[in-house]
Amino acid sequence: MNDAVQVRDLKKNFKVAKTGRGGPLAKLKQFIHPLHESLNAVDDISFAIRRGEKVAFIGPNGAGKSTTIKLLTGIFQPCAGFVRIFDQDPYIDRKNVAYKIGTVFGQRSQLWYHLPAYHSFKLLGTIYDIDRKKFKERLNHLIEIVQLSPFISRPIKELSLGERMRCELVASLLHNPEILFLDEPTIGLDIISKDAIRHLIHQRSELEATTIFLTSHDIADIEKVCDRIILINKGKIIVDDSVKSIKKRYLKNKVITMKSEEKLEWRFHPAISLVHERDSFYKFEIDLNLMNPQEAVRYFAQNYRFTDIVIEDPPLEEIIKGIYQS
Amino acid sequence: MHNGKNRKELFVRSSFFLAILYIFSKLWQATQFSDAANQQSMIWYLSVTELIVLSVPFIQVDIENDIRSGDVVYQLLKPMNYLWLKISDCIGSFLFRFTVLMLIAIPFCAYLSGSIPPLPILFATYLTAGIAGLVFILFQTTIGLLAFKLQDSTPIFWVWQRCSFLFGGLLIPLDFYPAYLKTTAYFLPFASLLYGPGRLILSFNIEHFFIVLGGLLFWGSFALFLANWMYIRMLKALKVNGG
Repeated sequence: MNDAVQVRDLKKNFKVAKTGRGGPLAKLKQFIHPLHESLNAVDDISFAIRRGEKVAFIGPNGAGKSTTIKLLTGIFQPCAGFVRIFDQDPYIDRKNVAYKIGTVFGQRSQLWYHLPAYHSFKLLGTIYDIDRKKFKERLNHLIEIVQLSPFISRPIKELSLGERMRCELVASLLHNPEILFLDEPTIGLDIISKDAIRHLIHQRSELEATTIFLTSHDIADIEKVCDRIILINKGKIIVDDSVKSIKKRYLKNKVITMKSEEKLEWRFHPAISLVHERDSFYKFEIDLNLMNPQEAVRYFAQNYRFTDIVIEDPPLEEIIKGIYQS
Repeated sequence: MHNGKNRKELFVRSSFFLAILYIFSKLWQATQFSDAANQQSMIWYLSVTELIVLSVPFIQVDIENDIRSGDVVYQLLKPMNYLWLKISDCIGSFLFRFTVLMLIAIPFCAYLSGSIPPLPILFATYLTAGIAGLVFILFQTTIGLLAFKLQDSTPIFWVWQRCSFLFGGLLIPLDFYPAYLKTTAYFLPFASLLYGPGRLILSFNIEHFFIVLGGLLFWGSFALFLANWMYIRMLKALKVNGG
């Protein structure tokens, strides 16, 4: 089987207690005889991920992303449907599947807080039954790539967030997992650290054909690492397509940036809106339903004087935002 | 080992231990323990019971924090048993503390009491004390796992701790208790965990040694079963809020 992940008709709902609304009597009633309601966290989703594919799994807050990851990693048992990670049920064969998956959760740590990073890595090497010689080789290789040497002997609690995340990534790659689950791996990091993390993830995936399953609210993570997006909302998959196809399908406008040495006297046009002006730069949005980019450039050339013009797609973030809002 | 690394904490713990031994040795001199032999024995008794109590780390706090923060779920992603990882970590801390405090207590008690029990008796006593500490860890693991249902297991631990002090004869051997209280204590685990090992140093005999060992094995098995059962139930019913 070429699929790393197979998900079919997956459902997960939770029983949550109804909050007691009303006066003290209603609250007492709820306390003595609590009523529950069912919350559909994941509602009949299906998808497959091939080996080596890099997939972004995104959605607004409360969409069901974390629940889906927990179903894929075997933490939760589905209410219906099935999940297979390399043809194994992650809930039943949790231990076997654990050797094949690596995880990085941006807001949690898998390292031992009070121990130096190196000792945490050694401990993980024992937990994952990694051959000593292979472990040493791999660790030295990862330390070199991620430049961990300056702080590998310091306790995790003394490291900055960026340093800690690099250690987390190394920890997740030590046992050479076939699939890497990343949940907000760049959250709270500065731009340089983010770039380093993205580069490492992308490089590992290319070199070792590691399947990547990434959830992130940072669209730059998606653009730089992934080639496919699965968008989930209210437990259902809304979009499942490559990044290129999504841009093509959902692109409703283009952005044109124009440089003009003269002050622009903009006249209203139904297909073109001026979104931003600063110094001699003017940014416009072209409604592709009313006008194509060639016509837009012709219009600018005929009516205005400019020294430079750039046509580009709106950021992926705008496209995703548009999908969320629709 | 992380608690051992904290030298200040170990220093404070050791100082407290020695202070307790010193204060009580002076207290018994002034009370009904006018017999010097009894006073000597009592210092050694207290050294054993306090050693157990002061060496056991608060594993229930770690487990409770993991459950409340949801971290327990993420620990399950590794190919290891979360429960045994926690217990092993705790045993490491316990053995380190136990060894350090024991090595401090023995010479100090010898100085306070003016004598030292024979080596075989010391060995048998501290062996059972060490096993008692491990059983304590198992029971406290169960208390920590209760946080899954109760969210806060601290009150349960307080009750457990106070009962262990009272029914375990932490400060005074159960021999001095009223009959009804003594009988009640014998049915609870605390007598085996504290009084049992301490009693060996008061008046050692091989029969009592095996009785204490048997009690510890029984309660240890019970605590292990309970902890495992609760852990399995927790895994089955696990709920972490998504998102």
